Amino acid sequence: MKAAGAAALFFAFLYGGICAVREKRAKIRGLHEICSALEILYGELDARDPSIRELSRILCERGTGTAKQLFSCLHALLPLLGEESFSSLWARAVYASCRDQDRAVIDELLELGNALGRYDTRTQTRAIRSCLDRLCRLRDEMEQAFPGDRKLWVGLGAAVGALTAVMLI
Amino acid sequence: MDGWQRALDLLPGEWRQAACRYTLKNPEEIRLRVGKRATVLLPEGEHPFLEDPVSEELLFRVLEKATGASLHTAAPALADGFVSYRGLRIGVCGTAVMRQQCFFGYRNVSSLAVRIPKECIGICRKELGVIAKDGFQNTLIVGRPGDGKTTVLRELIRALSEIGYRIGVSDERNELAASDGALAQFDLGAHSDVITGVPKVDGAMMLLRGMNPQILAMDEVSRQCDLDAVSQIFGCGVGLLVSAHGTGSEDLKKREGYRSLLEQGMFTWLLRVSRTGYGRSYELERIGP
Repeated sequence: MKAAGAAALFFAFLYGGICAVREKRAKIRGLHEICSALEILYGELDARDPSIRELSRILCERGTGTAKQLFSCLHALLPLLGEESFSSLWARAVYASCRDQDRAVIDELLELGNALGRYDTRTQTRAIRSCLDRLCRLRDEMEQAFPGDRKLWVGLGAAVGALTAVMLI
Repeated sequence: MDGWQRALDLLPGEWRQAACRYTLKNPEEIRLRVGKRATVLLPEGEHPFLEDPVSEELLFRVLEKATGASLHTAAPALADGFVSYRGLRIGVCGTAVMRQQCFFGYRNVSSLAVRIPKECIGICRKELGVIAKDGFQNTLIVGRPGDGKTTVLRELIRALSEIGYRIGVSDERNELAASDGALAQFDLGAHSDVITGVPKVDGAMMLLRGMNPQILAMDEVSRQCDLDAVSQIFGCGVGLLVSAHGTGSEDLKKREGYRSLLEQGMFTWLLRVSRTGYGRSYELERIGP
């Protein structure tokens, strides 16, 4: 009975470690999706000068995962323009769709919301580009750190699980 | 939705509710000036509503609503001093930023004037009868700002179109048709074709090439390039129905561009629109052959 309990504890901690790794991987994937969407946003704005409504519609269709959620949410909130400023609607969409992302990513996106739709096309594309550069840097750092993090969390889960199991036995 | 409802739609909740009480008082404009009380322009003058002074944030929110949070798409219109929202004209004032001697944008916005377009079906019937008596003859509608030139032009387009004339409307700022998507909010008659979003000159030429109009209609022809376009169209066998700022033919002759057009006898009729107390008066004058 004790052995079964110890094994269950071990696997529970190991599973916790694996979940932490999955979460990290999901964050990186989400950041990839956001960066791809911002690339599309940059390209569309630079080439065609469309309205924010049209851009959000395009990204609802062409975005994936987190980015699709972000722009779908924004698109749904746009009828509230006038009652609320665009930057506050953008912030609501960011908080609703990027909950799992790091604070640094959320801050970058909020900063971008202060420039979108407010200035001329060149200023907006510059803001998108600089946001994109910083997000890509964050993504690269996360990707580089990921193999180490994976070992760390799985190892930590297994070690703590083993230690607890030994203590129980 | 009529023009007033569309104008109210631009205001945030509290402001919209306060302005609502003027719905039946024939409102003409909503004026918002930073640091002052918002006002509604009625035929008898401006009426302030709501105690709170207007903030720059409020003006920005109205502009965001009007442009769909896309000020970059409204830049060409802003350079002309206004933006359009579903057929409404919103005049903008503030501190402009110039780059290479061209308007670039506003650093601060200090006031907005939301002008309410009107649809007055049935006005100018008598004048229409004269203008179209023996086939349509070129007509110039003049009036001071706010006198109702656009309303008269819209009604003449509708009435002439209902008679059976094919009318091409070059509606640069979407004020005549107030199209929401492809559907016009104002009735321009059964035989009108409207082109919006392109400069008047280009729109007129596109209509001429593609739509085989019998009459071309344009609002507020005042810039030299617009007048040049009118001169080009003059010899094409198409009727002209245009509006311009001014008080009459003598006034127009003071402007070089118009002087030459009038001397060429381009327009047969001049329809003067003026404000008389709570209403408008229309005066038709023969100025050409």
